[in-house]
Amino acid sequence: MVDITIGAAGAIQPAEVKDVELYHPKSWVTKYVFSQDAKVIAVQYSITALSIGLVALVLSWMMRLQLAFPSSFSLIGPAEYLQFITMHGMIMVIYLLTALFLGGFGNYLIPLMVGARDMVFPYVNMLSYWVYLLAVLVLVASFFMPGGPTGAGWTLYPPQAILSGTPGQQWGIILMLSSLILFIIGFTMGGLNYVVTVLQARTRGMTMMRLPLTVWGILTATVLALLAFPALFVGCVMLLFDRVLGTSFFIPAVVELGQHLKYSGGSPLMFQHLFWFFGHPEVYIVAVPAFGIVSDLISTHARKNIFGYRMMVWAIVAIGALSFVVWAHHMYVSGMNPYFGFFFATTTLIIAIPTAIKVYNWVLTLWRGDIHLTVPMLFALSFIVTFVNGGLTGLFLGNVVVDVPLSDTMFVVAHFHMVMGMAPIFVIFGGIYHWYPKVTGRMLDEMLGKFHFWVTFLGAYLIYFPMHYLGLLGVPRRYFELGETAFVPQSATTLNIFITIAALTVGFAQMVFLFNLIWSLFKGKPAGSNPWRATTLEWQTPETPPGHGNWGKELPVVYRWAYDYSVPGAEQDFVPQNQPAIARAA
Amino acid sequence: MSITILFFLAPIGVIVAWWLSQQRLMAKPWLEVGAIGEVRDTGASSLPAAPIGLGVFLAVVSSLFALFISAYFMRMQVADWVQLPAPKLLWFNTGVLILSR
Repeated sequence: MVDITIGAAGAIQPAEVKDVELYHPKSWVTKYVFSQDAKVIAVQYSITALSIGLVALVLSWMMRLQLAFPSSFSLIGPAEYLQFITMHGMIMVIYLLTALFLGGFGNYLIPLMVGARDMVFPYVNMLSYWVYLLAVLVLVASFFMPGGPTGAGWTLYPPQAILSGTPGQQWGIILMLSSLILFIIGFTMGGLNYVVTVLQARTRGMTMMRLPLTVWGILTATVLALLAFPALFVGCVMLLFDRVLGTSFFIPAVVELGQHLKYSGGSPLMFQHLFWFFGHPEVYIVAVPAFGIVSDLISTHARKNIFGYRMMVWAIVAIGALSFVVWAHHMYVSGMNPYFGFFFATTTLIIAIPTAIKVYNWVLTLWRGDIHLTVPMLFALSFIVTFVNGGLTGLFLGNVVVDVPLSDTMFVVAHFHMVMGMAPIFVIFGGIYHWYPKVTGRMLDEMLGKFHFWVTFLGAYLIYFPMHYLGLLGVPRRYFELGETAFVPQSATTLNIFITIAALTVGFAQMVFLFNLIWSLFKGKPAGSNPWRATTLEWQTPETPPGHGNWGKELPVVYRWAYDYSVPGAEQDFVPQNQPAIARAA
Repeated sequence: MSITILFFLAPIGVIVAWWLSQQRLMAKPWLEVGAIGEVRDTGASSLPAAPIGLGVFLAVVSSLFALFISAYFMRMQVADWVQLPAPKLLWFNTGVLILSR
């Protein structure tokens, strides 16, 4: 074969991949604070994302308390309720899920999995984190400004987002839009790194088709994000101009409290197009890395090669491409041209094909595998079930005629929490349990982990299954309280109390998880270098946790794909990627 | 707007498809185990990382401009649009920018 080079006497050819020129930290500050090491940046991203995610979790408790016990808590009024739902949604989608999958997992895993010393632009990578942190701080600042954070809903639809009836119209919306703009700038810096590192810094022998699916997932999601976030950027800048400079990009002629406002001629629909051109790929920006990670977790913990690797890669790419032509299925009731609805419903249903291929392949990977029900595996399995459940309700909502009556009901809330709330967060938990031993050198406590898993998994279903039913009853989303509504029976209130108790219980389990993260850091069982007996390169580092530059003196050489588990005739039930085949007789 | 966005996405899609076609997506990696010394070509470009990073960044910036311009054009079509004055200095500045290349 033309692309195989064989050195004299079996020696490896000189490095084809130039080592990244490493920045060597000279002080504690440059090593741990303003660090250019992707591993430290990954931990910084993860801690920040989990911290702000905790704020969003507490906000969800506030909402649930209000829904279960209306008007019982003086600190939750109608305005605060709207602010809580807005901040909860935006934080969870952007500042937790996106940041953790790409900034956290991406930074830690890409250089290690492709066999590089670091990202290709370490300084820009460091800036990426600090701009992200600034975005988070600007967002948090809106809690302390006059009028509080914006209550426009996470979609920030104009004209209501900037009109005086919406909470946070004074400062909240300005800070929200500014924070999003900063986030996108920070992400772009990181995203360039992730893409170019995968393209150019793969070690010798690491072809694209030998990459673990985690890297394929993160790479595809990053490309999606780099192309989709500009739409949000444009929407935010123009909305900010409308709010601050008095332009009318999105605001039509409005009469507010009997007075004509200075706006005229703007198109609210244009904002929706921009928002959802970002918003739908965003679903896959979160889901595609989850697809990749879950593939690796299942293969490793079922001791079996991934079924249909090539098909998995094609499906990831196909899903990424299709995700750009489905955005208006979020806009069936917006008043857009009805013929568009037909087109977007069709593309939406087509995307189910590559997604179903992935689900079948995961199930077939499990088929007759040596399944170890470790905590990462439990979370991976729960992802499959939950993603399928959430995906099936997506088929309902993707059809125009079914979507119209279900729009803006709790059914939609239940659907997207299953498919892009709980399902990806299960993968995040699974990923943390799986790679924590590599990051810290210690195992997370398994008993606490299983407690965390079962409460979270069962709790998620106790929360969201009944919520579908509420939606079918017609219970609207975003309502502070239902009051005396004729079409909603009294039993809905009882169900709301049930859901709230389940939500608070799941919330408690997350505290156990946080305790486990901290406790195991000091008291966890030492992990060794490869506790899961995995094949991928990150488990083959000379040190655990990996040292500066990851690989000691020489970069690893890759001889095989990432899924050689239970190979017949092999000494162990896994063969690392950097292990060559036994020399053949000439 | 939808049409403008799809026109922008088409060339990006072509570039991505071309790159993917170079990556041996039909390979069967499970059958391709190398013995010691057999090192497969990774398929990475011979260009340094910086120009490739710049290329990716330009794609992002083009996306930004395409969306800004299409949103701006859509807004221009509404009857109340006030044409911005184009001072002569604008053309001079544009000329300087072109010459700076």
